[in-house]
Amino acid sequence: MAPEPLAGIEGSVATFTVDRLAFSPAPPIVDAVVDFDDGGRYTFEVADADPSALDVGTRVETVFRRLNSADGVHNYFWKVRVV
Amino acid sequence: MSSRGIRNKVAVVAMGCTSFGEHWGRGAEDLIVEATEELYASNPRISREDIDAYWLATLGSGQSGLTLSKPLALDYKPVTRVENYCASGSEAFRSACYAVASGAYDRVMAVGVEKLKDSGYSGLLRGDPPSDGTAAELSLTAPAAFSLLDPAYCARYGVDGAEFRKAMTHVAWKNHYNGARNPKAQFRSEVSKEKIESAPLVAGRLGVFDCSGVSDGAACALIVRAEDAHRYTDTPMYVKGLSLAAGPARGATDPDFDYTTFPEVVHSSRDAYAQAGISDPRGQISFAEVHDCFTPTELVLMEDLGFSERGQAWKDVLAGDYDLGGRLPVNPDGGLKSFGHPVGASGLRMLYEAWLQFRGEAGDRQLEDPRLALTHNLGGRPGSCVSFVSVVGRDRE
Repeated sequence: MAPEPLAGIEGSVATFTVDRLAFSPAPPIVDAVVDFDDGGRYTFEVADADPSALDVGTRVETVFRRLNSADGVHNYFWKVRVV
Repeated sequence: MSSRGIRNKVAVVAMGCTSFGEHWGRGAEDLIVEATEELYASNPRISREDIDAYWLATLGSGQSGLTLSKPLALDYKPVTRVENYCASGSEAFRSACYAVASGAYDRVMAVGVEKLKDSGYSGLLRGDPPSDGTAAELSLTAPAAFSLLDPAYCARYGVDGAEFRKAMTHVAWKNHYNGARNPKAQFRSEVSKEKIESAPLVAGRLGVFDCSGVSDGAACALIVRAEDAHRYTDTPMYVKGLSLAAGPARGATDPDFDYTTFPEVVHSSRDAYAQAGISDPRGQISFAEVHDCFTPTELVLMEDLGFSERGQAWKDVLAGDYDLGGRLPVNPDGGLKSFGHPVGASGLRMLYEAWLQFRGEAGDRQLEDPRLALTHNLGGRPGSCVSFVSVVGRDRE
């Protein structure tokens, strides 16, 4: 198994939403379904998000960010930000 | 997908349904007793001792057959508890129908119940295994997951966002209009379009009135062989088709899924239509009860069920096609919008409206001469769901 860097991989927003019922350290939670240029899809929280700047087709890239913290344990995972 | 179906082999001869709402003073056991008592009270030809077997649906208001046998004080009868997400009530009905059709039992009862309001939580409480929150499809709440349909649909079909907003509003307005005419609904008042569109936002563009409510309730049906039906009632309801489709659940990671359709609904409706001998659903179905968990869901369902052409449902909704007086009334009882969604009960609540409509007992909501009805019950979310479709009819042939 070869290590594969996942940072800075680009894709396009297939659809998106603002989840006003869920918690995030960076509210409000903006979620986007992202289709990668090289194939594949995942649903991410959007970092540094301005929901009004998002649309279907908006270009984004992966960034490693803090997803949540509990009992002093920080859980980092992939998010995307607008390119 | 192929299935032989059990068209006209079994019939519903009695039903019961509690009012749906915030029943702070009643537990799941009380609701089960109330629904079944209504069933017996409505049909003196049926007694408790007549029932040979039971199927019970509940997502989380109890486990095992004891959840039913204890409150009903059953003596050693077979009771199976089923769960299939929000389609659980329909699954109990489907199983009960097959049990009768197989010849194993003469009289089987399907019961659905859910008690949501005592959970201390304002939505559907799920017992998922602990996770770190990184799974693609579980990271969104239910309203957020269904709100994904809105931008995707508008982009795919080039629909102006303001027009689609009007269509979502019309769905909520219509279902509350219908629910205002239903004494068993949780919400029994009409809601103006202005109020719907100015409500606080929940997820994406979905406001409070774009979401179904949270309520407690129970409903039940007694199923017998079709040839025996007239021993119990002069107005039975015949089962024409029953279909269930569980999808591959890969929408959240599969770029081929575009968030404008539920393929599971397409599969299950086509299968149910084939079983029921329906070639033109839009022309043949008199009315439909569908899973309007959120307003864009109902819009997409109109296309997946074959009622509207692709990309046209929003226009048909705005034209009033699915209104109470329209060409194909949808959710004449008020739907999940007006009833809330006590998970295990909802699928049977939909069938209860078909039962009332066929018997001419739907009061102010009564449709003229309904012959065939469809019920549709969805569990899960776009890209990852199970879908149930039934076709039931007033006449055996």
